[in-house]
Amino acid sequence: MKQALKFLGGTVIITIAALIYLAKPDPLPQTVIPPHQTDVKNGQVMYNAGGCISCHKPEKGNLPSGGSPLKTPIGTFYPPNITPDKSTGIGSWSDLDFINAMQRGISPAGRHYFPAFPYTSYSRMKITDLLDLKAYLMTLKPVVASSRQFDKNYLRPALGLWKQLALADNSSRSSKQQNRGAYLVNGPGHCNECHTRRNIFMITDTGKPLAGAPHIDGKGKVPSLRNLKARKRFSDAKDLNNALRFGEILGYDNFSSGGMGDVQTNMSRLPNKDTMAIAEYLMSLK
Amino acid sequence: MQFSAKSLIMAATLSAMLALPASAGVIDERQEAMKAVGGAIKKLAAIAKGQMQFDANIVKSSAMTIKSSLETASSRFPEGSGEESGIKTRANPEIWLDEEGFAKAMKKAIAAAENMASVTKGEDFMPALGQLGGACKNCHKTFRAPEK
Ligand code: HEC
Ligand code: HEC
Repeated sequence: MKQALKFLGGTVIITIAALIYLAKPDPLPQTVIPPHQTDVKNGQVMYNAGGCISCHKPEKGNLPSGGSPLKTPIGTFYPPNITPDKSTGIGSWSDLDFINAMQRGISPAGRHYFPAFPYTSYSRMKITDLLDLKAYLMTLKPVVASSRQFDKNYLRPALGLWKQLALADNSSRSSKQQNRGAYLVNGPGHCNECHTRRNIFMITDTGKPLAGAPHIDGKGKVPSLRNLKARKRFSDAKDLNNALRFGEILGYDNFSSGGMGDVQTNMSRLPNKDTMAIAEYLMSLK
Repeated sequence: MQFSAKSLIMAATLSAMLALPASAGVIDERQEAMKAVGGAIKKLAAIAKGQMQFDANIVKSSAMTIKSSLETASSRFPEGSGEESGIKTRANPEIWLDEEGFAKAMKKAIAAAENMASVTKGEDFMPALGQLGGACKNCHKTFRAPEK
């Protein structure tokens, strides 16, 4: 009996230790950063594909200085200032700080970010694209704007375990990316965050990517992006490309509701070849 | 006691039965009006895409359809005709929380349709279409709910 209790106690301690270990932030080392000549223009493409402004928008203005409320099922976030201000923005961040935020969801101080910041998708981005994106952000006008703290910060330590699951699953998917369209959709475009159903662990379901999902607000649904041609949503890639680039200007009335309006605005700022690549990839999904 | 409860239920059912068709009518009418708006802007889009030649008469008549249908729709959003009516609608509750904002968005779209109706030269067409489409988006973004 005593022996059994001891064994049980030992198991519990080992399990807790393992959990704490697993929940610990797991940042990437400096060695992941290759020598790279940054390309600000490509950084701007990544900024628009990534839709940073949709969430980091200010109450007034068009720089990503944050502060507008972002409602999520777990509470309201006020996404922080990502302009290059040194004290309230990311002006003093190293490249590695930025890569760890975007790919591992870890802050420079070593804290976990909530996945309301879609690093689960950005983790599929190329390091060189992220370096270009940071270089682009550094060209923006620095704005002094402190961010309002999330009111459930005590939950942060627990995010580690979830991230082990959510990010582990990611790397396997990134190897399957073959073309530019797939990369833009699944990486920077983070389309899966809304268009893919989540499992009970709130992880996007790899079995049926982009097959549609309930809307995050709990009202209505986010449509499927598969079988678009067979379902007569779009006649061909050119049709879908027009919709992504022009939305309601060309009479595509289903590109505004539920947050898609901002996404479409960001898409309209991408080079035509990139939206065309996205359209071709989506039309190919069966 | 039992009787009054029963009659209360009956009264409630009766009034629900009466309220339902009224709401259904108005929802149906605004959706039909919006469909007409959608059909008309697709004609303008066909010109923009080069599938149809620029023709000031077609532009004007499409723009006038948009204007008058938007005016029809704008008077078909009485309180209680949202999702609480139990009828299929994508009208967002925000319409009644921010009636002023909704009215402003409608006004902007009607003005954009009027502007489009006044276009006679090809070079003025695309800017007018940008303004018009932008006005549809400006309202739908906030006031039209995602698909059910
Ligand atoms: C869907 C909304 C959303 C989008 C899109 C988004 N972010 Fe964020 N971002 C957030 C939220 C929310 C946080 C705060 C997370 C937290 O507090 O845990 C955040 C935090 C950050 C941080 C950490 C800042 C700090 O001061 O700690 C960086 C850096 C960042 N985002 C960069 C970006 C970039 C670059 C893009 C575009 C490629 C982007 N984000 C797109 C929601 C978003
Ligand atoms: C002031 C707000 C507002 C403006 C402006 C507006 N709409 Fe709408 N529209 C709505 C709402 C709300 C609905 C949903 C109605 C419902 O489901 O009951 C809707 C629905 C629609 C529908 C779907 C109709 C159906 O039920 O099948 C189409 C198509 C449409 N709008 C096209 C347009 C176009 C094109 C424009 C611009 C020329 C436009 N709308 C301008 C608010 C607006």
